[in-house]
Amino acid sequence: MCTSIVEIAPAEGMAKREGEWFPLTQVAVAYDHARHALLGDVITMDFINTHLPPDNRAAVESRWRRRRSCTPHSHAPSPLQTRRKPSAPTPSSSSVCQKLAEATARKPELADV
Amino acid sequence: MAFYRGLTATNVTINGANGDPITAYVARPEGNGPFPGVVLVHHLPGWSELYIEMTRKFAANGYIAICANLYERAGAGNPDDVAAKVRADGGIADAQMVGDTEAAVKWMRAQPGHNGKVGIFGSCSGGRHAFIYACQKKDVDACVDLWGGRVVMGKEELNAKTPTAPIDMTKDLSCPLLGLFGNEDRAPSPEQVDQHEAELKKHGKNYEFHRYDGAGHGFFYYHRPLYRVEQALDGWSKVFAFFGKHLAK
Repeated sequence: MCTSIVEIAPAEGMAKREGEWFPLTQVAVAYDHARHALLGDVITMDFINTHLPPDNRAAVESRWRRRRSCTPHSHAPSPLQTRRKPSAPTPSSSSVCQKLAEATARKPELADV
Repeated sequence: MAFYRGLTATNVTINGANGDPITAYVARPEGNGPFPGVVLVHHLPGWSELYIEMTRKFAANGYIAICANLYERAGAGNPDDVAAKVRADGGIADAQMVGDTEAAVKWMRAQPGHNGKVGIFGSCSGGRHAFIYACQKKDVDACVDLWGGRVVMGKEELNAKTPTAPIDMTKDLSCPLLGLFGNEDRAPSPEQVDQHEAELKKHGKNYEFHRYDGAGHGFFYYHRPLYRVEQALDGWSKVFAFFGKHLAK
């Protein structure tokens, strides 16, 4: 794919490259073909400082798979869990799952990664 | 004569859009020519080693070749980092790309031993850019678009940097067009390629599209899992046949 699926947002904080931390100004999250990872289409994240040279960058290229707990049926007890009390999903993991579901609903391609 | 043609390659500086100096990698076949020329328009991952190698590939096959760094203004550094910075800035403007590419075409036409013919070649965003250039300018003789995405664009995708969908420029295409596409690609999707082909037919343009089963996006990229050897070898043969036909003098 050659997409324009990219979200760019101002950012603050620090990122690390080659043992040195640098201040962030921006994060870009995109969905496109990988440039380094030996994968097809991936989610890329670039944490950069637009005021510094381009090599001030912390980057990720990755495919994500949904945790089974993101889907309602996955809360059914597994054979292992039947021997002990099933644990409920934590509020934080439910929140992340919801955000992922919202994102993939807006951009159907994300559902394929 | 040796089986393999010798070549020379180096970097030059050309004056791109707004007169901005930008670097271009150039390669030239051994001998006096006359040689046809190819202007390579690099892809979204930037002025990458792949494009530098392809520049030399064209020279080894008897073409003077040039590939300008369209991302030069984002700063110096590893092309990968530079490309990321460009992406975080929302990409480059189509108008700036046209200005930079025009400078590369002018450089080509000024070379001793050039036969007066220029082809333009690009893949991915470079395919889209090559097509845009061939529609907006009349100084190239053949255009190769390899799986260019975002030729078909929705109104919501248009902005100051990309104000017009390339498909809407089709009526102004000034030279023959070769398009290669993978049927498993989703950008451009087979349906989008259909739309583009319909527009080319509607305006009576000289084009040839080839679509490959078992291939998706970027199937020439031998360093990526996208690579498909059979389709890539056939595709390269079509590129050289197309340029051989339209750039001979």
